[in-house]
Amino acid sequence: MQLSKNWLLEWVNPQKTTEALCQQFTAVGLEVDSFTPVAPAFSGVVVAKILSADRHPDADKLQVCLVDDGSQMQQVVCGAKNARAGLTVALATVGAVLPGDFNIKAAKLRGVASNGMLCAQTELGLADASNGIMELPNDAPLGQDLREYLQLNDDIIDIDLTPNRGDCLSIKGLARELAAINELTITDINISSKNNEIKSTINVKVKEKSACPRYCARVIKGVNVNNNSPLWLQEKLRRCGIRSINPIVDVTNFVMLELGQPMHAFDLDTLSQSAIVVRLASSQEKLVLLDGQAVTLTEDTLIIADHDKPLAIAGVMGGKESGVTLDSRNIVLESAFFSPAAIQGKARYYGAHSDSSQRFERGVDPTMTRIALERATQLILDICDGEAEAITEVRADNDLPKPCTIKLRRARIRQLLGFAIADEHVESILQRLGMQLELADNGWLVTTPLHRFDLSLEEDLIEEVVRIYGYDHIPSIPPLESLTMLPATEQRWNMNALRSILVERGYHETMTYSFIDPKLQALIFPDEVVTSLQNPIAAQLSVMRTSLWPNLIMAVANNQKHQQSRLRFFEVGRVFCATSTDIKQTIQIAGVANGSRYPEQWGISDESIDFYDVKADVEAMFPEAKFVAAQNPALHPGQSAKIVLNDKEVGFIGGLHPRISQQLKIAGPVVLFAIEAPEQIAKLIPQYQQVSKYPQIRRDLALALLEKVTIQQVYDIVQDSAGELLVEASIFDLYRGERIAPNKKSIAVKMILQHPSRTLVDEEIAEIMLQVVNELNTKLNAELRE
Amino acid sequence: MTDITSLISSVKTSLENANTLLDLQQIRAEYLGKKGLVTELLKNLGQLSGEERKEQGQVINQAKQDILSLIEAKQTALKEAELAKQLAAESIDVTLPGRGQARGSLHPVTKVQQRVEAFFKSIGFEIADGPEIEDQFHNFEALNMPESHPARDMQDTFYFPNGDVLRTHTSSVQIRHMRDNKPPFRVIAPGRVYRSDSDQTHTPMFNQVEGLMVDKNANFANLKAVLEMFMENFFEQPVEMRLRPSYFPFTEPSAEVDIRLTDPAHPFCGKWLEVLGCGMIHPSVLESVGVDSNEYSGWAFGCGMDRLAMLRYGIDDLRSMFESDVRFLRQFA
Repeated sequence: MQLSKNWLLEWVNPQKTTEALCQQFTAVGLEVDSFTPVAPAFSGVVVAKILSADRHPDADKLQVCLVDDGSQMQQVVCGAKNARAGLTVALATVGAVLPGDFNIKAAKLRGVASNGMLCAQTELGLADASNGIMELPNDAPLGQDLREYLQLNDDIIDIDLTPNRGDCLSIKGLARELAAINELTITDINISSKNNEIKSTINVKVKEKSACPRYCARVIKGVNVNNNSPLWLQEKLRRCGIRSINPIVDVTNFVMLELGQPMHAFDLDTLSQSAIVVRLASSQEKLVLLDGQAVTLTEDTLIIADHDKPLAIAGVMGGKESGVTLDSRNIVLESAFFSPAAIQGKARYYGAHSDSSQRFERGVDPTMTRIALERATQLILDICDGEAEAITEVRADNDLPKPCTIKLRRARIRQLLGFAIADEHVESILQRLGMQLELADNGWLVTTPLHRFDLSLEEDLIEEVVRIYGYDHIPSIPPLESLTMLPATEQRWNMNALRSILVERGYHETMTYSFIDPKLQALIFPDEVVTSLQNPIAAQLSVMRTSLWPNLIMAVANNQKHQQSRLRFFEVGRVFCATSTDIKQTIQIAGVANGSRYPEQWGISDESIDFYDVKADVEAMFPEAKFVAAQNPALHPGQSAKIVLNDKEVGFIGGLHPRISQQLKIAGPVVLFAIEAPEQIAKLIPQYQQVSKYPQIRRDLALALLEKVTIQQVYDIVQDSAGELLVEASIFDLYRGERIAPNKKSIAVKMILQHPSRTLVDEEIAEIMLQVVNELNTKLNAELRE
Repeated sequence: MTDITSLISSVKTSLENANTLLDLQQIRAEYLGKKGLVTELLKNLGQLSGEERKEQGQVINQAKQDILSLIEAKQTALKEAELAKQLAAESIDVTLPGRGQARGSLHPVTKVQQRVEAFFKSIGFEIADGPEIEDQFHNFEALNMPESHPARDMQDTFYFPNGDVLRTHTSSVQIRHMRDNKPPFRVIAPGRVYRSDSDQTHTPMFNQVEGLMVDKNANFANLKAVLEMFMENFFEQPVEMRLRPSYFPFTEPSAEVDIRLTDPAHPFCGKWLEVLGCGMIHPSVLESVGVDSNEYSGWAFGCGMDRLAMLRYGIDDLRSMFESDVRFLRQFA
């Protein structure tokens, strides 16, 4: 809520600087976003009157004005069309300084002396646009400083109100709060309720009593909407962020700002049979709103209708057709209490948020209905003339909000806050906030005022007490608790440990959005079922990712565009896979590598990474991982494998499919891995085995194999045939080339043999090796090479 | 005697000219070998008379010892010279860069999260986790935000066609944790949250950590103390803290927390910084998860980890956290 400080001070004046006021508001939970002066600094501008305005002898568009500045006559040359004799104006006298450090000097304009300048609102920083010079009311006292006259020594305060404090969406509400803080009382407005002899001609029928327990309407006939709103009214509205439209609308807005009661004015002559019916909309009823939007109403929407058509969405927005225009002569003013439940959600549903819906959703003081109507009538009659009829009021007392009585226990205050607040503080604070107190066992019975819709529990009252008492006075008391030890398992993989391994191996952790471009998703995983957002922020952020890979692949593509050639990224995050019944939300750790194996450096050749570099990274995280060739739509069909741990498939590894690299214009091989839910994977606790004291024997085998034979097959046979004495078998060379047939490869396998309790003898070693070679030969056609 | 003296001086001359161990071997053979000059002298002793032989024998043996010492001394000198030569040849440029793999980096939010987890674990808080696609009950209703509540407009929510939402806060994890466990509770829940908002200070996804304590005497003064410890530990400097009354549907009383850093070296020193929201858990939230709000009270806070990362590491654009730019990421090694 934006407001004028001076307007607030008319209600209560704690004699503080704007900054101090703002601090007070913020300290009680009404957070001040900013405060800014109403007008930029200027000086030397006074109220003056044009006595005569004559055409400049040498310029068509200029007038030579004789101006009374209250103490003497000044001749001023002015270019504004509306400069005319009798007009009260703002005169920048010689010596004045206008915004932008513009100094006014005595000058000659086309040969005619000009002592000063008649100002437009824009020139004083009072408006963004203006048509001609500023026209001041005729009764403005000549010679008075304009800043003083227009109360320009004022600040605009912008308060960011939380949704529970609907009662502060008015000058009166904020004044109440300020009075409570400073132990002052507010100066309420004086409303003279006119004893009206003219009988009401409007026929009000409320069909939804619980949604609208109080409805007041008044007809005012013969208004002149063409009269301008007085300057003070326009200024107050402007300072509260509301544009002046016409005097009727301005008055309803003014009363809403002042008292918090939203009001509406209908053009009586557009109402069929002078009827107002408060009812629920029928299905398919249509209405064009004031903002021009055509809506189809739903049956749970409370509307204001006449005899045959909807006029307004109750408490949200009026209709265009029945609104007041400059041609309106007879109007109906509405002031009602709509229950928050009836209004909540409607503005959002129709996309028609308004100052009115904002207030009714949060709760409007039900005692204001009639007072606001009287206040508005008075102002309209003052500005637009006309004749007011008596008020028609329809009221269902049982459905109106009632004061709430809450038990407040002294002990509960202490329990919740952790410290005690003296009784007299509690009582004083609550009373200042308009509550009625009655002593009760161990505390009080507190009755809340009708303008507070946010107080129904003991905790709510405790917050009221402590917020006025001052959050600054809350002590810091560390909690005293029984010690409890937290579990820390060694039997699962720990995500931070996995992260460290990848970081040590050159990967940069990234974090990317969980929703991605459906086109990217379709490119990488064409057959996956995706979950789409109903209201994405942008089309390219509209489907939930089923893998971390798409964003990792894009990270490579985007960084390559920034001349970054060696890239390794990983991410830990959820992926979202739709199943037939719900969406599986699994945490994944996934990585991508591209570019050279090592950073470019001396002494190491600049080779590109391949599958095996990334495989080593996965093995560094999960030494027990097994890799089984398998297909994945994102991966190169000849370079991809499932990752298996504890006999369960837990992820995938492989080269990015060249089709995708090409499409995304990625240079060089890209290798990816992903592991699902690593923290769920069981990890074995190491079990110590005795170290043999006897010598270990190494034997190497050089084998020629058909290309299709896998190393795993060789290992399995070596393991099986060598038996228990084999401690280790590993490949240490791989050769393809001229010295071997084209469909074959040569491998060198190292075997370490050892007996747990004695030294091995040559014969038994020879026997084992013979058996291994024979088995390899029979099962894999492997030939021993020299 | 002259013979012996000239013999020794000729050994000295030879040794002076010797440059290698091989030269030394030759000199040793020339004088002390089977046919060496000294050996010959000793052989000739037999021709002398007893007394003379004894005398001459002593002289020759002494000369032999002297020659041996001279050769050994030279040998040591040559070996040392050789080692010195080797060392000189082997010396390297220690300013050449080290070889091998480069180190990667942790995301700044992860760095923050790891520290936050460590702080709270040290005072006995568990770490909880929950789904990011949430139903409206856990994200809103159980947190005292019924359908159409104006507070729902405080957070721009992403919806799915079936009515589920992307969680707008980690407070939903509170609900799941409290429902599935028995009080007392001491929990933090870090994780990703989502709101449909995007500019320099808002991204549609960001990271929060929720903290929660429920016990028979958990109170507002405790909350303040824990938050002070948290902030001072996080920023590693004395921190001024200011609580302002605020409103969250799921806490009552509620507060926004501003801090002011005191270390003049910190770029934000002296400014009030909004860092988190907190409050005493609303009784209807406790009741919605079956905790008796008369017996138990609790406090909770929610804090943006991205914001903490920005303040800690001086990052000025939130969006840069989620752009995977290696030039950004590598700075957090």
